[in-house]
Amino acid sequence: MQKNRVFVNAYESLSCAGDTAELMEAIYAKKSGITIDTSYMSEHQAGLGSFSPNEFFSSLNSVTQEVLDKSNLDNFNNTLLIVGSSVGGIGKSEQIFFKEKSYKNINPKEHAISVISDTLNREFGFKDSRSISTACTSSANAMMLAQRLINLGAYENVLVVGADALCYTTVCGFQALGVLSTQKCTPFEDGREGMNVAEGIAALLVQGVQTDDSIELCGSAGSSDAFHMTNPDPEAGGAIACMQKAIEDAGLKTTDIDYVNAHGTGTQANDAVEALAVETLFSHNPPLSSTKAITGHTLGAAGALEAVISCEVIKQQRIAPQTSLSNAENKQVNLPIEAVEKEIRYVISNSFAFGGNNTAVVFGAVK
Amino acid sequence: MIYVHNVGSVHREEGEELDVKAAWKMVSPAMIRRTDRFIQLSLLGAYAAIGEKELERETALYMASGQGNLAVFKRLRDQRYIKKQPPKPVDYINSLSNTSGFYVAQFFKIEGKNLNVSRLGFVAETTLLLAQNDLVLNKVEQVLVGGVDELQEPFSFTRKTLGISDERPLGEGSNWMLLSRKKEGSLASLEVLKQAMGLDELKVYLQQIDVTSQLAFGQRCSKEVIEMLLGDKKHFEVSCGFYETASLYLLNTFIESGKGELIFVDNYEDRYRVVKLNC
Repeated sequence: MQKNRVFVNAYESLSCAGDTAELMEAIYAKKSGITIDTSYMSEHQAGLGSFSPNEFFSSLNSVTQEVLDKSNLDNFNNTLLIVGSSVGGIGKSEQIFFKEKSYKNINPKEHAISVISDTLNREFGFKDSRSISTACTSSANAMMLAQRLINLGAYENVLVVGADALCYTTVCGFQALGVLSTQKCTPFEDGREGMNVAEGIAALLVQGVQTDDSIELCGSAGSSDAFHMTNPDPEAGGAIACMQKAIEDAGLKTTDIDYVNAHGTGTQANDAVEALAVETLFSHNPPLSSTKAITGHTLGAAGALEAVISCEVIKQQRIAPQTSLSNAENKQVNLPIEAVEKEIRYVISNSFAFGGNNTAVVFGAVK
Repeated sequence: MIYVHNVGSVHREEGEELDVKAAWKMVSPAMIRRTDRFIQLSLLGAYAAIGEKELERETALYMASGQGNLAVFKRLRDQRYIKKQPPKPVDYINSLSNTSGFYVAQFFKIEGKNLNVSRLGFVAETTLLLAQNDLVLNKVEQVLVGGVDELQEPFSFTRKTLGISDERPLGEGSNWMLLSRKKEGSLASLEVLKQAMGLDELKVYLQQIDVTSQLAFGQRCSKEVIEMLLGDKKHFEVSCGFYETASLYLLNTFIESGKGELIFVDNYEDRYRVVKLNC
């Protein structure tokens, strides 16, 4: 079957490191947006990524409006919206519960994952919408779904939005799992402490037409470890499989990949397995880095936010350095500690989630 | 065209009893610890469809839910705000949308893509469409599709969540089907129309279908619309309390009992989606 090519033609984001332009400056300057916080857990200190005082839902609309302004569209009336989120409106429910100590006035529709698409639909009037919720791979899976739909010619325009707000449930939940870092996270570092929960919004317009500013969404794939609910397969089988399939889906060889944008949360389990997967799969040792040292882990938004970063890396032809790295645990992988200018044709961006839910997306400079 | 190879359902009406834990314990006593009722319901429905059959390792799993695992969310809230305790790790993990999918994948030893789709309105249809897209594009060989919604008390809250009237009976279900591109040995062919339609477009579409086709309608379709669209076509009906993924229960019931072509129409707000089955 003849597949339509797929292009990312406009995007914008907001994270604790600012908008996309500010984020890329921060990444290259190795300036983290994480702050050390005790407001969520008075008894525990945690590194968190907040874009406060920006309010989450108004920021969601403004980020989306910026994508529309940058796009070749007058409106989103003929655009499918695909949201990837793991938190949805839990923060809103928490605020009501905190105030009233009761569930009575919680509006279920404001609590669900679909509150994000409902909010955007009210403002922009999309043709249709979907919400994907697979924890930390949510918006990476939304990118994959967008690619498939454009491939098939089912839609001309798809807006992928990854969005998750900070809330007590996630901060305290990750604390209960013992994976939160009290400091700014240090992905791939030997003796790293853990991850930083963060909030983020990223929106990307994916289309079947090429523009002057396009980045190609070349391939994507997913896999499931089916190994353990919270720990990845220690032999990295699922992570390797999804990267390999995504590269095949793009019609490429592993040696075509010029940069690996890692999931790299800073937890012991993730980073060890991801580094092993990259070491095993790529014989040419491409540069690998995690930008979560700058943005924190934006959970369901991470795939879309890191898609924006991957597109920017290709546009700027400049590899993102690994911030906060002094002694890598895995010495066999290529973790650049400074930004590297080089020809970057293809970038693979990884997203992994609990349950061994793995997704990889390949982006390329347009030929 | 894609084909349905296995179907299975676990379903109950409001007022009926269903001891999911006991039923699942009979199947897999080792997989009780750390799983909650929503996860066990998911597993039980998938088992009803697949049984002991060995699935291809690369089988993908796409799971849909309208409400998700609301019970665990309430437990987390109660732990934090009423008991003033930190969340139990097992409850936090079980609150993640893809946890049930993990357990189903682990039980059947399948390592393909594992997705969870959550929304009110068309959640079953859009999940089937996802599977159809990936099968048509040769991205996967087969997909295990499931829809799971758990009956939650208080029922008034559930009705409010679903946006339905206080008089409407509720139900719960875990309905699964195995889809593949292979026709051989299949129970039915299935096609999800790619685009949602307005009512006028739907009327035009229905004028073109075969005179022998049966029509079925989703639970959000109003009586007036059903009467208007049905005309002289045979109406395939399944009695079922309301839950968001009940469309899959109806489709499975037709596959298990019906013959011929079924045109299933579902509605959400002012849009309509169509699924075609041929048995």
